[in-house]
This record gives sequence, structure tokens and C-alpha cells, in this order.
Amino acid sequence: MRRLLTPRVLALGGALLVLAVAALAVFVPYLSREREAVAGVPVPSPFAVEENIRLAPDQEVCLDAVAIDADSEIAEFTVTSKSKSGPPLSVSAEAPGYRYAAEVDGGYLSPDTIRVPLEPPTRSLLAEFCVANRGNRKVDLLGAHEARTASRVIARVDGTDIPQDLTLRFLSEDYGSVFARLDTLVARMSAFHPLVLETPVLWLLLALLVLVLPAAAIYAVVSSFRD
Amino acid sequence: MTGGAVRGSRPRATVGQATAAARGWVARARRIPRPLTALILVGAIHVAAWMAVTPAFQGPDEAAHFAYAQQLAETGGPPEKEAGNGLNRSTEQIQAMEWAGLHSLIGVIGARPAWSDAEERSWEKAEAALPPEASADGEGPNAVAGNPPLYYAYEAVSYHAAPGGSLFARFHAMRITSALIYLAMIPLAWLIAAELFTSLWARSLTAAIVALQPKLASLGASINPDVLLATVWTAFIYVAIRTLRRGPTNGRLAALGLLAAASLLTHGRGLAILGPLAAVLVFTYLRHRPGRRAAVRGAGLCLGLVAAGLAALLVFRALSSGGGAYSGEVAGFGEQRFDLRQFLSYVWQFYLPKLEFMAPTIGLQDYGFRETFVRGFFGDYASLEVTLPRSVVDLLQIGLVFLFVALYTLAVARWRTVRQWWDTPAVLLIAGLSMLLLVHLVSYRNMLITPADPLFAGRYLLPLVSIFAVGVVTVVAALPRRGAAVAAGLIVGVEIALAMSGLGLSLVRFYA
Repeated sequence: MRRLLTPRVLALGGALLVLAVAALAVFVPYLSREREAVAGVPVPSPFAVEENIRLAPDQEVCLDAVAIDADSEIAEFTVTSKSKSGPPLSVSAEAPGYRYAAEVDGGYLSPDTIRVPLEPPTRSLLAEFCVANRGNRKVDLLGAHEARTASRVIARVDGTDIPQDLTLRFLSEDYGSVFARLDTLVARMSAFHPLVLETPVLWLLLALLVLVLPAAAIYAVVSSFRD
Repeated sequence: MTGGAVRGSRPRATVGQATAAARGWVARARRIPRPLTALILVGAIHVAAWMAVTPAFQGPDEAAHFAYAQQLAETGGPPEKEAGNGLNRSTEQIQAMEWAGLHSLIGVIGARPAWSDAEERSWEKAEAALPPEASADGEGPNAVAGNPPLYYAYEAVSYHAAPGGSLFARFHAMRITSALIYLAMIPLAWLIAAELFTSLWARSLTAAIVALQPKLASLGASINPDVLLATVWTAFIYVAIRTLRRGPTNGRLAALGLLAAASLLTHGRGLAILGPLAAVLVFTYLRHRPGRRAAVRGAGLCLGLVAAGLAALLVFRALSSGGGAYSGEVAGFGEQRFDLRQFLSYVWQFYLPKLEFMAPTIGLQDYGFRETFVRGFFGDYASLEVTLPRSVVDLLQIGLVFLFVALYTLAVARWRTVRQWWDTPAVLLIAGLSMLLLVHLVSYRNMLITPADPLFAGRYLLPLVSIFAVGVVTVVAALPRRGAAVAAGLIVGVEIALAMSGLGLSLVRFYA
């Protein structure tokens, strides 16, 4: 037995033991856990300073050039005014060749995060995204007005520029794990990268990372021991 | 005839020379030990993965470092720290970051980068419409403009060499050249271990610890002078140990001087190299006792190169903004009162619990050893918002404390060996303490002005990563052979798991 347990075998065993424990206890549960599938965040929630966008009855706030992707199936924004019966809202998104409109029934408890089902376009596009107050009372929507989270989009209330941006994000309907959505994640990583980091190269890199990196690191140390 | 014969034979001679040179390179490459080759491959995959998973400008202060390098590349001069034209980045960089959703992404967990084709196409159109001067108008104020120019000058070369000329092509070319600096640390760590340990596995383990250190690889994948500083320090430590062990030569002393100058020209924190440099020169003299003339000549050569580096920095500053050699992190010590008692109390409470008679520490009360040496040294990726789980940080902290206790115990138990080779551990210790003293002084000074900003991140310790690796291997080497093998395997397993964890957390943070 002692003969079998050479330094190389022991070093290999030590490394594999740690990796097996890490894989079973941490990596697999973490990567196979279902999680919210974010499809885009045109305006993130404010980092430190919340500033509301107040809409009087029949007023609407619009964000221009919001990117809506083919997997943007839910639009999410936040009503911040305290109310036991929030006013009805209408939500619309419009771009050349694409138009979608939905209604949010009144009577919801607020403050609350509002999620509106969206018919996504067949391919990503830049659209005007609007939320209108269809009730007879004012409503406050969560906005961000700070340098830290300033984004590209410009917000307007009834056509007039306002300093705040309406916080907005899009979600996909299926809550997939990282494993299940790995192809989407890899495709996203290739955005705004030069050609050398296109999707096939990223898949190759992922394979090298998962297979070759541990193997080469363990080989380097294990093979350095003399039996 | 003769001339014709000569002309006729020259191409053959050139081809022959080239072939011989190529054969020489191949032969030399074959002499590289296989474990080291494997570890360089590990480092290359590791750093490439960090490059892919970290969106542009999301490394620590990466937007500001890119802006400095771009301004230097475009105009030949650095941006201004406080004045300038009001643009801390060029118009091109501002628009690129807006279209790619990269500005609001910095440090904001709920934000995501832009990834839609529509945004990418729109940016390409916007970029094509930008005038040429849009890439050269980031005159400042730039928060990192006080940094010395060496790293940015190096990056300016790849900025211009990038194919296509688009901003993101240039950006990624600069990241790749930064990654090459990181990769150089792996063979350097190997060489350090080769000076200190006879066994092959000790060299492999030292280099593996460096190649798999996730914070170092993540920094190597971003545009940041800290990676050059870490590499320069690793090279310096190698040459210092070699000089102490094998004696001074003109080449070694010149290398020490050049590396110290490079440290001064890379970052304000590079000033800390003067402590170990002085120690190496004094200890080398004490151990090898060269003649007085040789000693003066050698010291003159080494210190002359350091002085030349400092002079180059002063000339650069005088020609650009006219400020001092450094600004920001290590400048302005004279502007605040320095209370030695308060400083010592702060340093004590940074590492240890507050004693009864002490006043509460200056600045943040819960920021110390754990946040910098453990959480920040191994984790806190991107703009510090991607953190390792608390339980992992707990385990790493226990491991690090165990390492310090084990090293102390070893030093006591093997005091005779320590006394025999006292100069090598002394230089490593002085290098660490010199860097820590400078960082603590800077941190203390900064907290006198802004108590909430300790200005001491875990990455500031990365120039000492080879010393950390040597420390770990020293403890492992003290174990019986089979125990050392198990420990080496466990350490490599932990390092691989840490590297994977950091990358997985970043993948989810940015793209899920």
C-alpha cells in the first residue's frame, strides 16, 4: 500500500480531492441553480440617490433608443408612491417595424416592482419605451439621477427632457440556470469585443479553462515529484 | 567576379544564419522544463479567461488608466490631474462606454453591459462618424494623471499597433500586452524558487501559486500599472536573491538599478523598492566583501541607473504638467499633520484588536487585515464589487494566519539555517515591510483628509505575491516528503478552485 502511495499519487490525490469537493459542494449547485434571467438593463436602479419621476394623470414618460432584445419578455420598473390602490398604467414600446402595447390594471399595492409581459421583437432593436399614467391620481416611478448610474438613454415627460432616467430592466420568462443558458451567456460575452473574441473562440477558451487549465496545473506540480 | 560571388552568397549566408538562429531558439525552448511550460500555458488560459469575462473598463480604475494611455498615445503627453479641458476621458471613450453600457456598469451590481446587436451596430455607426480629434481630447482632469508614464508608454505602443483602429480593438490589444507582463511573472517566480529550493516540485509549486492567483490574473487581464509594478518587483526579487547568493556582477547590479528605476517610473508605490534595494546593496557587500573600488563602482552603477530613472521622471513631469515626480497617492505628505502615536495606533488596529487604552482608529473601523490581505488579495474582482463568499474568505484567513505562524515557528526551529542565510529572508522581509510601510503611510495620510477612503486595496500587495508563494512553499518543504506531496496537491487544488470561483462569479455578475 505504502509503495502505491508515491508522492505523485499523493499530490494528485490531494488536488483531485479538493476539486471534487469544490465541484460537488459549490460549483455544480451554484451553476445549476435557477436564477432570474436578465435580458437587458437600459437604466439600472440608482446606486445612492433615488429620485422619483412624478406623472400626473395622462402624463407619460418615455426613454428613447432603449435596446430590446429578442429574449426581452418582461419589462420591469418600480412604482414608488405609497398607495393601496395604484393607478392603471399603459406601457408601450415602438421602433420602425415593431410596436407593442400593454396595460397594467389599477388597484395594486405600492411601492412595488411592476412586471409587464412584453412581446419581444424577432431581432434586437432600439425602441422608444413609454409608461403612461391612465388613472386619475399622480404616480411616482423610480428614477436615477446620479453620475454613477448615468446611462445613454434620455428620458422625457410629455416630450420634455427630464434629468432623471426611468429605472428599467428586461427579463426572460424562463428562469434558467447558468448551465442551461450558457450559450446565451457566451454570446453576450462576445459583444463589443474584437473579432478575436467571437463566440467560437470563447467556447474554445471555455473548454481550455475547464479541461486544460486544471490538467496542466496538476500535471506541472505532480510530475515534478520523483517517485 | 569576387564582388558578384559575395553578393551571390549573402542571401544563402543570411538564410543559413536565420536557420541556425531558429534552431538555437528551438533548442533553448526545449530546455524549458515541461512543468514550467505547462504553468505558462495555465497562466495564458487563466488570464485570457479573465479578459473574456470582464467587460471593457471594468477592471479597477481601468477607464481612467485607458484614458491616460490614450491621451499619451494620441498627443505624446499625459492628461492633467486637476486642470485640463473638463473631459476626464476622450469623447470617443465616453461614447463607447455609453453605447456599450459600461459607465453605469462600474461597481453597480444591478447593471449589465450592453450585449444586443442593435447597440453594437449603432456604436459602429457612431464611431465612424466621430472626428479624429475625438480620441485626443481627454485632457483631464484624470484621477490617475499623477502616475509615472512607463506603463502607459508601453500601452501606447499596442494602442497604435492594434489592427483596425477601432476603440475596442485598441482597448483589447492593450489588455493583451498587459497580460504578457503578467505572464512574465510565472517564469520569474520559477527562477526565484530555483535560487531557493533544490527540488523541482518546489519550483513548480511556487510558479503554480503565482499562475493561479485569481486576483493577479484578473489584474493582468485589465489595463492597470499595478500589473507592471508586480512584475518589476518579482524580477527585482529574483535578481536580488541571485546577487546575494552568487555575488555582485556588473550585469546583476545594473539589473537591480534598472528594475528599481522601472519601479519608480511605474507607480508612486514603486518608491518602496528603495528599501529592499538599499538592503541588497548593503547585505551583498557584507557577504561578499568586494574591494573598495569594486564596491564603489558597483554601487555607482546601480544607484546611477536609479538616479537616471528619477531624473527621467522629473524631466517628463517638467515637460508635461510641471508637477512633482508623483501626485495623488504618495504626494502631499507635508500638507497634513503627522501624529506618530495616531499612526501607530492605526497600524496596530489594522492587524489586531483595539487595546483598551487606544482611541478608535482613524477612518473606517472595520477595515483591516481581513479586508486587504485576505478578501482583497484573493478576491474583490472587477471594480471590487465581485466578492468571494464569506465562508471562503474565512477559510483563506485561517490559512494565511496559519502560514504566518508556521513561518515564525520554522524560523525559530531552524535558527541555525536562518543565521547562515540571513540576508535572503532579511531582504524578502524588508521588501514586504517597505511596501507595507509606504501603503500604510499613504492610507493614513488619505484618511486624514477622507476618513471613509483608506486607499489600501488588496491588489497593492501583489508586488509581494512571489514572497507569498515562497513562504507557502517554505512551509510545505518543511514537511516529510509524502506530507509535502499531499500539501502541494491540496494547495494546487485550492488555487484552481479559487480561480474557477472568481471567473464563475464574474460570469454571473456581468452576463446572467
